[in-house]
Amino acid sequence: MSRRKLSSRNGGTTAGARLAKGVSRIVPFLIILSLLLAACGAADEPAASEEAAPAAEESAPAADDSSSSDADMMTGPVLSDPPAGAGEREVQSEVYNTPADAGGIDSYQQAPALAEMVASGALPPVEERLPINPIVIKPEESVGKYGGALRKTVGGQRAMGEMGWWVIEPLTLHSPKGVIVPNVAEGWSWNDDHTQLTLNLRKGIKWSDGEPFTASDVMFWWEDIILNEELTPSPPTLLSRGGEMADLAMIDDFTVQFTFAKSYALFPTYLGSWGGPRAGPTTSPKHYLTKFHPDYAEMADIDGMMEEGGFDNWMDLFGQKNGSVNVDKPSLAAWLPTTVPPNPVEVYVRNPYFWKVDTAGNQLPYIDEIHEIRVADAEAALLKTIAGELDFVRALGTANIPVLSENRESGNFRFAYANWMPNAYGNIMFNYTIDDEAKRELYNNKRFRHALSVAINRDEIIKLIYKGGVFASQIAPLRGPPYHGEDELFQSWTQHDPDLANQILDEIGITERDADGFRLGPDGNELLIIISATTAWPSESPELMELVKGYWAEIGINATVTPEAGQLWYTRHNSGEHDVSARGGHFGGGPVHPTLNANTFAMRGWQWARDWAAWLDTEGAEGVEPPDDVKQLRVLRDQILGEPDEDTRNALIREVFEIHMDNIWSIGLVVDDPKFGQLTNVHNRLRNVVTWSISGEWTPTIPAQWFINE
Amino acid sequence: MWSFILRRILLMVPTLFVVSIISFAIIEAPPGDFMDSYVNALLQEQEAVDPAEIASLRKRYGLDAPTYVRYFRWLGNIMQGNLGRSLEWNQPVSKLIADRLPWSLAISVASFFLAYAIAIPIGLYSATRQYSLGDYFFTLIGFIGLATPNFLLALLILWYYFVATGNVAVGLFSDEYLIAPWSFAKFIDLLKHLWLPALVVGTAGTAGLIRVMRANLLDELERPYVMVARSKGLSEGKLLVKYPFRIAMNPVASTIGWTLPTLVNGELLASLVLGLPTIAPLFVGALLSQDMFLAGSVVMILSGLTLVGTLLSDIVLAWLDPRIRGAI
Repeated sequence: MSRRKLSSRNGGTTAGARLAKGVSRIVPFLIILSLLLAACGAADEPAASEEAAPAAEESAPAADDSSSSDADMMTGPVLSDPPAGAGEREVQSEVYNTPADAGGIDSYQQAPALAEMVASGALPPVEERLPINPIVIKPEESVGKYGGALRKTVGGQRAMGEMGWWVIEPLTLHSPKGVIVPNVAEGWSWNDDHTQLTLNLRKGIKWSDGEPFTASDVMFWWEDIILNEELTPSPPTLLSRGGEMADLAMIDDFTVQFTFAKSYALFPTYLGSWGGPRAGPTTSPKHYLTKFHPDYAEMADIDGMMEEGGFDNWMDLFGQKNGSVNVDKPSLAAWLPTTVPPNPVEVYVRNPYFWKVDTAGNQLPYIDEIHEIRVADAEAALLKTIAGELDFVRALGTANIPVLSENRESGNFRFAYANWMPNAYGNIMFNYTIDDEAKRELYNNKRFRHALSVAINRDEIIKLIYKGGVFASQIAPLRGPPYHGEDELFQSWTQHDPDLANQILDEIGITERDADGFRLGPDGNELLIIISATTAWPSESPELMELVKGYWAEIGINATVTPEAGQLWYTRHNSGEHDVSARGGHFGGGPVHPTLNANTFAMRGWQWARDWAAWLDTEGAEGVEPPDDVKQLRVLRDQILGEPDEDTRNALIREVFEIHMDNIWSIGLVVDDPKFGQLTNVHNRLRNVVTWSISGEWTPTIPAQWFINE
Repeated sequence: MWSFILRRILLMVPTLFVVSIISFAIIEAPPGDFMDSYVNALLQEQEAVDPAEIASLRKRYGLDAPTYVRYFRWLGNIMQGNLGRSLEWNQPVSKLIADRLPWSLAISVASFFLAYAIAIPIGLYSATRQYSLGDYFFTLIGFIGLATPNFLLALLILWYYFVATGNVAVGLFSDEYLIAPWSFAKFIDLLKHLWLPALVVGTAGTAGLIRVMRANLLDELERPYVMVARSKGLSEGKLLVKYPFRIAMNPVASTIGWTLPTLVNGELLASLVLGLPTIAPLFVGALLSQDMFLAGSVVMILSGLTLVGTLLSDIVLAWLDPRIRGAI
């Protein structure tokens, strides 16, 4: 029943209709008004932020102006040429261990804001803050200028983005050219059989609160953190050698000495590598952390602090105080955290005691502040990038490369990349210790794996799933020297040859077929392979496996695909519940030395056969005994760790890769080209950024030398 | 009336207890625990993972205890007002939530008022002018609003806004105000950003409210008492506002009950997309990483608010409608 009917009953134009008219006049007006209000807000916005932006910029140089004695670092850009695109320039940046190595430095300068603090007496002069031999960085492009804030993103769930790496200054460093060079350690020497490493710390480095950094800080890390059984129930395996924990001794205030049970030539590399003891020795300020350690502080005081912070035990309290997001903890890094995550933006400010300078004697870093802006959604990060609102954004996903390319000019950014170890997508892993005997027999036969590998049409997969940027390959290490992931070796068994696959399967004796034409297992029963594909990394794994299932059907192998969410996949995989499973993987190189990669050397957490790795770890007490080739991987690793000659080491690593490519313990589909997979978007106002990084990590490119060219 | 309220409050205690069991069970349902997701994240970043270290951490966090032990430990802490520490952020849960609550409330309250301010006049119009062009127009808009998930709407608006203005409407502040101390300019900047989340979050609610308002009013307008009032010569505007409108508001008032919990997490997906510093992204993250203390606390707070909200809407209804008052 309608209003209209009612009115007609009353006859003629009724009050109801009048009312309706009145309302109808007011309501659209109200709506339009509200829409207008919203639209006004929208329209105002660009204008407002344009106005506000210069204001914000002005306030930063304002600090510069007050100490305008350094005329060379004033307003306006330093560089006028357009920045080089991805890979267009060889790495120019150099790390000199001492000013003498850099050809001598006459005097040191500092950021204007720090100069002011020195003038007011709040800070000692720059010469007193720097160590005797500051590290000298030859900038990638030119000596920069002070000021500005670097805008980056941090994902919704992380405490830190790249800052997580940048806040650590390890003892040794992968240089921008991919070589291990001195960092906090000024030098090191081995004894003849490489069992004793003497590290000379850089003299005169100060923590960010001005306290000196000495060997006793390193010793505190060793004796009171690593060797404290409550804090570290099981010390990192990399700190022991030949089954024995290393020994660390303090020789003098600036010298420490590691002693190992066996030669350990690779250890200085580990000190600067991911997965190695990168943090720790240089992130444990004794004068600060002893306040929370029961060996030094009164337990009553610690109890009070635990009560206040809601901690159940002193280890958690200590862990929080020792964390890299603790704003009170002194640091050696270029920038210091000032906010406790999560916040809409995490702010890091310049460390006035940073101990690196440029070739003109300017104390680094150039950039005043780092802002990690919390962007939980990938689309939002993409939008902010193409709007030019971010200065340095890594890995927005291969799928977004076309959008990014289109908007490079309007967004005023350029591309750069790191020669990262390639991401291998869709690695097919077998459960070598599965209960089903027929399957176990097949999976453990490498000829079976060869047949399954050559049955796959990788070119078609690339065409159907990827638009480019990936290559048909088994899982492979870093491209280029020294591991040559692009080598033919990693193409082993990647040709598409169903005839060969059929022939091998016939030869290994699974010739009987069921009514549908699928091969029966060696025991004469039906053979159905269940592939569990993770949806987490890469998300296209289930699609890849659907294609694989089709290729296998062509050679008479019956398979089915179950997609599983990342967490579920991981938990089931670890407990050995999977039959066959698929996920991405790495083979090492770059910041992750292959010997640190579980996949390459069948180490703890080896995804492909955890039971075998467990057997090797526990010397047979747990797990399942692996084949000899797997045992050989560990033998070779032991040799590599002790081998002082790099060429010999690389030859041994090559041997490891050959064993893998013969056994194909995991069948690989494609690896990505780091030029695409590690594509980084760099705003054109940000300079001194390498156009590509050799060592595969962005940290060694030394963000402290970056500057904002405005 | 008072005894009714008292009885209802007492009944909330066992309800909350049951809710706590259910929410704990749901959070615990996926396989694995926080340490598993922690290890998974480390592996993805190629960090070395030491199983012995993980085992000791699990023990330290009490994750190795049987489920019921962990449940009672958690419940016991909550009863003492201790929400625990977030495993993921290594901060007290209460601080994490307190930091974000004002933002969640600001957005929700804004969208709440926006929804009512838009929906009630439109509902009134649609009902009094049923099957008119305007009615069809608003019906269409309403159905689109109801049918579009608000995160999708948020994405569409984000892209459209970017293409139109070249600006990105992510977050609640422009970059230059993000870390600036509070000032009038910052407040104005906030208002410039707040309309988008308020609109996005409010859309579905607005569309729903329009339908409810329209349907209720249509029912009432046909009642004999309306005819009687009209025949007695009551002016149309006064008639509408005084009688059918008031009654039509009853169901609308009862929805206030369940808007209370949505005040805290209604902007869940939209907040993720728009990058807002509210509780929602924190809650989603906690669920994904199985950060029991954080996720559990948020669920308990939401449940508590639902119960309080239901009570409030009953009280409001009783106040609005004497018939209901009688039933109590």
